[in-house]
Amino acid sequence: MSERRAREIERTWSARCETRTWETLCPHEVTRSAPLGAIAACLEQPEVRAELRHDEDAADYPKRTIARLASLGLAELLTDEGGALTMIGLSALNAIAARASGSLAITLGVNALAMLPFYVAGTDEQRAEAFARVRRGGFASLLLTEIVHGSNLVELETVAEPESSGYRISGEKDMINGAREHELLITLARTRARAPGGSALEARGDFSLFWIDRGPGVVPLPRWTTLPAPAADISGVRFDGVVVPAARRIGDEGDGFGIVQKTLLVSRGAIGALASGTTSAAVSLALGYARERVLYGAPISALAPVAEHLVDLVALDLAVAAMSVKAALAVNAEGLGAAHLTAVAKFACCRLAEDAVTEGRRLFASRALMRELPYERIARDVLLYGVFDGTSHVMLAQLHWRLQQLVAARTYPRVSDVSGAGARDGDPLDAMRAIYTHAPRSLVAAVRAPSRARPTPLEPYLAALAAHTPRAAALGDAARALLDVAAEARRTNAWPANSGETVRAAEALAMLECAVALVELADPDARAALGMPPAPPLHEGALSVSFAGLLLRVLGATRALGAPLLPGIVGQIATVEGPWLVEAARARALLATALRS
Amino acid sequence: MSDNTHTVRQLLAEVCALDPTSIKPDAPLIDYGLDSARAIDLIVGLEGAFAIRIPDEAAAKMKTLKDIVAYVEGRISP
Repeated sequence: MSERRAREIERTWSARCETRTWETLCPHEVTRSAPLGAIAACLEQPEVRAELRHDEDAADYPKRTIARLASLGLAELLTDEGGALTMIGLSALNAIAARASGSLAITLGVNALAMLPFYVAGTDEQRAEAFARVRRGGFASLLLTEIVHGSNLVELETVAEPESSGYRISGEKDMINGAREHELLITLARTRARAPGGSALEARGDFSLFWIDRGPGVVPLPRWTTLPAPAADISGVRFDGVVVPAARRIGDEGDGFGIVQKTLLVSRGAIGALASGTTSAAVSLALGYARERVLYGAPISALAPVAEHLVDLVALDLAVAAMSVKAALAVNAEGLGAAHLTAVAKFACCRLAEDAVTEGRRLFASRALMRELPYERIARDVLLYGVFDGTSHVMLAQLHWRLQQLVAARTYPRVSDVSGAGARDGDPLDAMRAIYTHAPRSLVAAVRAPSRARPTPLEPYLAALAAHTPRAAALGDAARALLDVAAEARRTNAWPANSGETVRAAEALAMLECAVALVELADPDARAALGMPPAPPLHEGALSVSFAGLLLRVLGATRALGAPLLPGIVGQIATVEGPWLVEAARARALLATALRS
Repeated sequence: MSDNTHTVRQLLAEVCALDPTSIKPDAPLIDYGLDSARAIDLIVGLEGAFAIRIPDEAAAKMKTLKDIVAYVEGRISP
């Protein structure tokens, strides 16, 4: 197929149904103001999409598009001037960029990620200098991974040896986003040998973080050829005794590990926005295609098997966007205190986005497998997000631990909240209102504010929200069932550490949190109760299908986990899910009709 | 028990999902399941509760509840 014909097809499919679910649910009008509004409009232009496609096909770093975005004020989103550097803005940028191109999205995303250490621990002088570089077009990369050690940071081998003028850095970082192209290399290096037999806790003081510029001794390594995001610069760097002044150390010597942990607590939430953007792009293409392609005398959107894929795709898109938006708002309001929700977003958004894109792939059938046609890129790019900023497996381990915290919180009193962002131990609705109504604020201020990282106890909160929507009552029942099962497993020591049960319980908690976010942001009554303005209308039936899908995932997992431990749970769950199975059937028919044209 | 000890014990128990009364002053933190991922929660919580910053170097040396309380009281005392 000619490139021109392929572009025409993409334009036809996308232009009919451009889907912007992230912005639809976000209660702040971030994309209507500059520079995000202009960037979003730019990235929807056919010639810009074509430019991005060309770079992806050629595996060329998307320089031209980045230059366009720079001229529209991209740097304002990445530097703390004019109030544009916010978690909400950065997450929106991720979603907007991912709708256009996974390669572009992760290129911009890593820049935001790599700047976070400056917000967490940089001096005023370092931030000013780094921001000046970004305003001049410089991009940053975060260099953690070494090919042998992956995400096991305490084993890293890159060393920074003190010398008179600062440090001499030697070692090799690999599988790094932007390692060849980006100029600010934010690098974790060992400043102390690991003590023999020391624990990971004791090793946390062994590392420091450095800002390294390209120059003598900074040797770029070959780019990896990746299945997803082929235009992105995934490569490596070797440091051959690079001398770095002490003034380029970010934070104190020995503080690198903690700075990186704090960075990742925040940044992983924004991965959900990448997943959301890609899922919305899948919706756009699938709707456009299903309405345009005629088979047996009518658009295929009228065929039941196709409509089923569309229904599930749209429902999943809504769920992914809701969880991503909530994580961004939570970081905005609570800074590092949003750690639980960013882990949920990282895991659940990526997982649900993969499910959503699979629905679209089945809809497109062979047309999802042609490199010249646009859906193939969606199918490839969605695979990437789950491996960023702590793999999904790491998130699951953390979520199982959060589940244990929720179980313990039923019995033991919690320490009063100190953040000031929300009185978590007071009225549960007030605490969540504080997240949803907090004005966008500087990300520098957000990550430096006092906070407490812990999950909100779901049962009292959902009981309060149930006064406004029956969906919250169902989620309250689901939360109680899951926590009952987890508590019984804990009491009887039924789930060994590192077992399949702990993984499935963690997944259930993630889907439960996702369903809570969905209700909060997409149910009009919940939205009003939490102080948000109404959202633009959704497709009829979309909320009910999305909600029932998540609820049934939670209840199904809880039933399977609980049956051996609490046999009575099976009957309780049947009572909860019954009405929602009926509602889902009704809503699926409505949504299928709504999506037909 | 001092207020500071009470607060630190509560925070540690919350992070490790345990009964606060089960936390002994001299027992190794690692026995309560505190690993590097959970430690950042504890550090963030302590930094917020006591309005201090805890360097990794100092955190790495805290091996018991008593060590944490001693560090915190050393930082907040006038």
